[in-house]
Amino acid sequence: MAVKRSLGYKVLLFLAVSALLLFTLFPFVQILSTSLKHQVDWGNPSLIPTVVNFEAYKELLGLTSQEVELPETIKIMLQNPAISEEQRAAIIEKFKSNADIFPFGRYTLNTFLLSMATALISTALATFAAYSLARLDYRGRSIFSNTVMFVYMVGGVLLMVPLYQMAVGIGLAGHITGTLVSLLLIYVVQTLPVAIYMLGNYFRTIPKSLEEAAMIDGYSRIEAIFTIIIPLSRPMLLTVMFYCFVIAWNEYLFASVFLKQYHDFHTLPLALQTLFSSKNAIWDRIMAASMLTLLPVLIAFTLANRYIASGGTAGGVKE
Amino acid sequence: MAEVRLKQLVKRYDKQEIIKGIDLHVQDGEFVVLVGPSGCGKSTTLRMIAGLEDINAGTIEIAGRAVNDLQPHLRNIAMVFQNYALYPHKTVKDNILFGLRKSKVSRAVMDDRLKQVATMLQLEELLNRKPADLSGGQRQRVAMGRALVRDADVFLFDEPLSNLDAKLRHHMRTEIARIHQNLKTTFIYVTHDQVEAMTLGDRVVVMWDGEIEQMGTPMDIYLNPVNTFVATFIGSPSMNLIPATYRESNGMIVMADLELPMELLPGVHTANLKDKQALYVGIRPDFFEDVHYASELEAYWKLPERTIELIEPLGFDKEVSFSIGDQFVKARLDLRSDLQAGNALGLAVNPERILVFDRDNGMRVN
Ligand SMILES: Nc1ncnc2c1ncn2[C@@H]1O[C@H](COP(=O)(O)OP(=O)(O)OP(=O)(O)O)[C@@H](O)[C@H]1O
Ligand SMILES: [Mg+2]
Repeated sequence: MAVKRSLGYKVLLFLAVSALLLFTLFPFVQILSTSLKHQVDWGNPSLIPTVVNFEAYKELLGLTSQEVELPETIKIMLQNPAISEEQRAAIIEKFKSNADIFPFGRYTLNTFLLSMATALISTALATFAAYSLARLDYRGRSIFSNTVMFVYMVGGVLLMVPLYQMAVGIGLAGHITGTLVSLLLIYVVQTLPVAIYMLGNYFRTIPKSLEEAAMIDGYSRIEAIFTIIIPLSRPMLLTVMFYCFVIAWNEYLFASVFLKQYHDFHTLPLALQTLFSSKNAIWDRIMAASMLTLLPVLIAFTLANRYIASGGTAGGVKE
Repeated sequence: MAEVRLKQLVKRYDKQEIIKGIDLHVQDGEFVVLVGPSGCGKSTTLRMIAGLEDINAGTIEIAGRAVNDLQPHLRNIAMVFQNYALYPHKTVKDNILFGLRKSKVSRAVMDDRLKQVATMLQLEELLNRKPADLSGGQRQRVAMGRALVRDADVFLFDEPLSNLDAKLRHHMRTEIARIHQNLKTTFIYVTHDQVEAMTLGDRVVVMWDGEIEQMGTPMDIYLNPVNTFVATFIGSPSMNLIPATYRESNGMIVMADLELPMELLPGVHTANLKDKQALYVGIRPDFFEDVHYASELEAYWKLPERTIELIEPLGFDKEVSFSIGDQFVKARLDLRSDLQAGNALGLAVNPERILVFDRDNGMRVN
């Protein structure tokens, strides 16, 4: 595959790729740069901070060790002998704690759990749905397939209000468990069409005769799915899981409606939005939070990529 | 061990009949070969026996039990697929043992069988490789191994040797024949290679366009084909079919300038023939004899001298071509016949080996 190319072509290709990279990566560089800048540095158009400042990150991750100065009024109040030792400690703790500034860890955990649940449930359901579309012949198959695609075409904004009304109507939106269940359901339904489509197309590339061979070898169809199809589809299953995870991780619209009143259960996109408009809206902190939101996705992608590249069905059948 | 019985078996794809109601009874322990041109429905028939294709009409019985609605994994059948169908994510060893793992045989038995199969198919060196790292012939042997390691009631083979080179194919053919002798299990074997069909089968079933044209022992099919399709499909080089006409006035079958007296052909009932009826005279190239070397030719039909147009040496034999009217005819003579193109050729044929077909419908008339 070694194709000889002229120098001019190589230079041109290099420039084009660089331009594209610059274009796509610039916003991220901007975020990174701002997140590391000191307040005094914000006006500076240079991307490189004059002093690198990790305070925003430390604060978000709860690593600040510096003593928080208690305001004078509080100090005076604490001297009041009517206040018990415990109350005093609680008040001091409250002031020193930065958790209520922006409980980043908590939001990350919320988002992670919701995204992971979405990824697992959606991939599991999509596996069976896609298998049935790719392999089985039954009445209503094409209607099912078209309906799934139709769901995908309807935008989320259109459904937001009716879905919330429905959740309220059946009493799910009244408490946090129900709210989380409805949100999870919505995420699963939102990611299912593409997941089914991707997996269905992948299953179709696996020769039917492999399952037939397994059935001849004494395995039922279900067993053949688990012993042959799923191991062979591992790269695509991971891709689909990753896709669902990222969609749920970044979802803002439904989270903003459903979780509005449950501050403790906010997800990162929602929390970031709140951060933007709160009195804590300090640029370095917003940007650091954005950076930290991106990071898990980046790590997940790097890990998944290794598996996605491997595998394949080569060698099983005569082409 | 089981017999297999197909009754009025029909398969349709979108209204089009692919298998047109076939009947076949495979005895317990018999080696039956299905042979026919590409697309005639051999694989489809095999897949219906395995349960991989639905049946539109008719029944399939295995060991006396109708299995029409029995799922493939419950039929205890082993099969070698036309396209190997190896599990790409499993090693050769795991491919072969996959079926035994399910049937829960003991580890000792498993090891034993694996060793046996690996030795027989020369797979010892390959046991830890994945299918992607094997050649076509090696993959085919693994596919064979995966079937033969099983303790199945019926073994189905779909062109298992089609990807091997000539030498290995010959070796495997002998090997399969030996395996069958040892196992004495029911084998149904699909091929479009008529040499395999003739050498392997206890019985050969010739299929064409979704129907069984003829079944019988290899010799029977070779010597007594029921129609021109079977006659030309089986045998290599294929049978000469010489256009001819029946002449009632002098009781002759006329081929251009040649005349074949009816009294040489007691099997043909003249009552069944009309004057000027269009016929084919069928003679296999092997059944021509050079008059200079053959003895006892009294009863033979001796052809008037022909001129040799072409000679093709084939090792021990040679193929000699000449014309009867416009028809190019081939004869297979042994090396003693020291002939050159342009020479005159004197030939004779044992009349028992002369077949006569109706030219309109291709059916035998004697
Ligand atoms: N799924 C299908 N849909 C429609 N037609 C089919 C299907 N499968 C097979 N056929 C047709 O059925 C006929 C018989 O096919 P089959 O595979 O049994 O042939 P074969 O005798 O095994 O040929 P070959 O020697 O080439 O393997 C062919 O004409 C084929 O086109
Ligand atoms: Mg076939």
